[in-house]
Amino acid sequence: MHFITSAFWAFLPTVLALYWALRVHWRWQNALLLAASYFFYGWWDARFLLLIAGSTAVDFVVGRRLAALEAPRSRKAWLGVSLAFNLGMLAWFKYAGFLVEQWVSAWASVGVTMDPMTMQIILPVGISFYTFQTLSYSIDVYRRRIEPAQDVVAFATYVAFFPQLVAGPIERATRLLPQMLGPRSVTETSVRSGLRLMCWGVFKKVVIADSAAVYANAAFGEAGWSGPYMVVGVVAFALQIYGDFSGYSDIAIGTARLFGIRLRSNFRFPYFSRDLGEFWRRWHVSLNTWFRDYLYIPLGGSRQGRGRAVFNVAVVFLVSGLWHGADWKFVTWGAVHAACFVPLFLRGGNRRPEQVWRWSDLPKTLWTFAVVCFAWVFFRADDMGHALDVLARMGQGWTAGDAPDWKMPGYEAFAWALAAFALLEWAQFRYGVRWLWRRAWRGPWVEAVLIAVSLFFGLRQASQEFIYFAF
Amino acid sequence: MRALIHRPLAILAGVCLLWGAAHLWMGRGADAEFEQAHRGEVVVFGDSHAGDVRLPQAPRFAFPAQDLVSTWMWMDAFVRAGDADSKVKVVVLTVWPSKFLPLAERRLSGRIQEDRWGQSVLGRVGPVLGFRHMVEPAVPWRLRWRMLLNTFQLRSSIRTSGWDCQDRSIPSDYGFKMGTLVQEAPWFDGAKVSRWALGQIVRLAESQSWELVLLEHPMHRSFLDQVHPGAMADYESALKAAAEHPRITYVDMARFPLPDSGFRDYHHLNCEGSAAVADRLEPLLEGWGISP
Repeated sequence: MHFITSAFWAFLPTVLALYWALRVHWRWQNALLLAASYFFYGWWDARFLLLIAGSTAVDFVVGRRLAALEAPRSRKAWLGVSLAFNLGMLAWFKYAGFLVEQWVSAWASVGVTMDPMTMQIILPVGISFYTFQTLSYSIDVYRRRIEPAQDVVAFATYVAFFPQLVAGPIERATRLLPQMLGPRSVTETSVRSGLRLMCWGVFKKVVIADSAAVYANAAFGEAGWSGPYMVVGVVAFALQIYGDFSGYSDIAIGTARLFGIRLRSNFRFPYFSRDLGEFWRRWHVSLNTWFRDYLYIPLGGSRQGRGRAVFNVAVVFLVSGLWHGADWKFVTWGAVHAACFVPLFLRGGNRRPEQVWRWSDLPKTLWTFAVVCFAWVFFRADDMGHALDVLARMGQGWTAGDAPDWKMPGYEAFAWALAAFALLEWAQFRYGVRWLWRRAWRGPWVEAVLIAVSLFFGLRQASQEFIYFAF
Repeated sequence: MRALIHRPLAILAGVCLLWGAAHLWMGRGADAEFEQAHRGEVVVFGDSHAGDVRLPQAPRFAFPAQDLVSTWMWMDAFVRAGDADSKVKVVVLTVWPSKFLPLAERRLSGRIQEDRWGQSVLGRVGPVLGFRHMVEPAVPWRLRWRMLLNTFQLRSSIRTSGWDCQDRSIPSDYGFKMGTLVQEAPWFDGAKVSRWALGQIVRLAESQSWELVLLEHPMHRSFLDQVHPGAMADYESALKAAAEHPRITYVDMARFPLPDSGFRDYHHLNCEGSAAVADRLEPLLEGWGISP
C-alpha cells in the first residue's frame, strides 16, 4: 500500500483510532504500530517481511552483544555480523544481477562467451532504507553512542515504523529509538502540523510530480523531443523527482506526527541552493548525513590530507549513486556530482556558513539548478546510451523546425499550479516554514484547498508510482 | 488527542464546502447547456458513435466510452432543465454491444481502470449528479462514491455540436482480436447495471413523449464473427423488446453490409459509413416532420 491509495486512507484512521484507544499503554501502542507496519509492508508482498524481521533480529542480538563485550576483536566480529547480514542482503537483492551481468560482459569483451543462469531477483521495496537504518543502530552501539535496545518490540517498531519504512527519511537510532521507549504525546500542534505536512506532501506528489511526469515521460520517451523541448522535459523531471520524493517525505513526517513521533526533515528547498555543497545539505538530507557519518568520516574524512579527502568525497558520491541502483547510469550520476563538487570542496566553499538568500544570488542558484538538471539526465534515462542520446538531443533543434505536440491535456491548470507551488516554496524558503504555515495560514481551509486541488489533478490524470520505491 | 478528531473533521468540512460550491457552479453550467439544447428538435446522446451521426444541427451529449448510467443521468438532467417551451421531439441514442460487455460492467462497478476513459466520463457526470442518483439502489456504491468525488474534475463542457467526418478507412486485411470474455461468455446476462440503465432511459423517453431512436451503427465483420452469438442474440432481443413501445424505434444496422471502405476501425465510421447511417436515419426524421 502506498500513501496515495484509498487503502491507506482507510488504514490510517483505523490505526490512529486504535492507537488513541491504547493511549495509556505505550508498550501496547508499540505493538500496535509494529503490527500495523508489518501489515502495511505485507500489503505488497508478505514474503519480504521475513527480511525485515531477520534484519531486526540480527541487529537486536548484535546490539546486545556489542554492549556486553569489551574485547575489541570480539566487538568487531559482532559488528561484522551485522554488516555482513545487512549489506549481504542488500548485495544479493540489489546487485547480484548487475554483478553477474558485468562479469559476463567482461569475459565477452575478451572473446569468452558465457551462459549465465538467468537471475530474476525481485527487489524488496524499501530494502535500501531499512538496512541503512538497522546498520546505523549497530554502528552507533559499537561506537557506544547509544545503549542497546532491551525491548525487542520497541526496536522492531523503530526498524519497521510504517510511515518511513519504504522510502525514508532514514532515521537514526539515536533519534527515533528513544521515542519508541516511552509515552508519546499527541498535541494539537503536532496534529495540525502533521496534517498540514501530509496535505502539502499530497499536493506535491499529485499536482506537481504526477503532472510534471507527463512532460518528462514524453521527453524521455518515444516522442523524440529535442532542443528547448528536451530541456523542458529535463526540468520537468527535476520537478517530478522533487515533488515525488519530498512529497513522500512530507507525508511520512506528517503521518508520524499524528502518532506523536517526530521524524527528521529530509528536504530543505534544495533547488534554491547557490552551489552543490548547499544542494547536498538540502537534498535527501537523511541519506547524505548517513553517508557522511558512516562512510566519509570512517574513511578519514578531510583529516588525512587533501588528496585523500578528495578521494573520500568521490567514494561517497559514487556509492551514493550505486545506492540508488545497480546501473552505470547511477554511478555516472554520482560521478557528475563528484566532479562538480570537488572544485568547490577544494576551495572550502562547501563549509561556508549559509547566509540569507539575496536576489544577487539568483545567477548562482540558476547555475546550480542547471548542473543538477544535467546530472538528472543520467538518473532518469533508461541506460547510458539513452542518457547520451538525450544530451545530444538537448543540443539539437534550437533553430526552426516543427514543434512537438507539447500541450498536454490540462497544461494551463498545471502552469497555474506550478506558479503557486513555486511561490509557496519561495515563501517557506525565504521566510520560514513556520511563518507560512503556523502564523500566516493556520486555518483548516488551507488543507481543504490543498486536498481539493489535489483531487482536481489526481482525478484527471494517471497516478504514478513513487520513484524512490524502486530503490 | 482531541485534535485528531476535530482538525480532520474541520478539513473534511472544508473539502465538502468546496465540493458543494464546485458542484453548484459546474451544475449551473451544465443546466445552461441543456436549456440551450431544448431549443432544438433533435438531441443526440450516446458515446463516441454519436460523433459519426450526420446531424450537424443537433447538440450532442456524448463522450468516448460513455456508459449507459451516465447517459441516463445526463438525460435525466436534460429533462429537468426543460420546460413547457421545449421543442425537443426526437432523441437519438447510439447503442452497441460494447455498452453491455464485461469491460463496461466493470467500469460501472466503480473500479478504476487504466485506460482512464471511464474516469473522464465520471468527471462529466459529476456536475449533474443529484441526490436522487445517489440513493438509486441499482447503482453500485463504489460508482456512486466515485461520481461524487469526480465533481472535482471540474469538467466545464459536456455538449458538443457541429459535425465532421473522416476519410480514413481500414485496410482490406484489417482484423481485430476480441477478448475471450466477449467471445466465449454469455456477457449480456452479466450486464446487470447496463441493462437497468437502458430500462431507465427508455422509461424516461416514454415519460417525455419523445421519439427515442436506438441507433446501432454497422459493425465490422471482425467483431461480428468473434462476439458470442447467444449473447448478441439476447442483446438484440432486448433492444427489440424496448422498441415495442410505439415511440421507440430501433435502427438495427449492426449487420448492415457496409464495405471495409466505410469503417475507420471495427466500430467507428468514416464519411462513407456515416452517409449510410444518415440514409436510414433521415427518412425517419422526415417522417416526424424534422428536416435533418
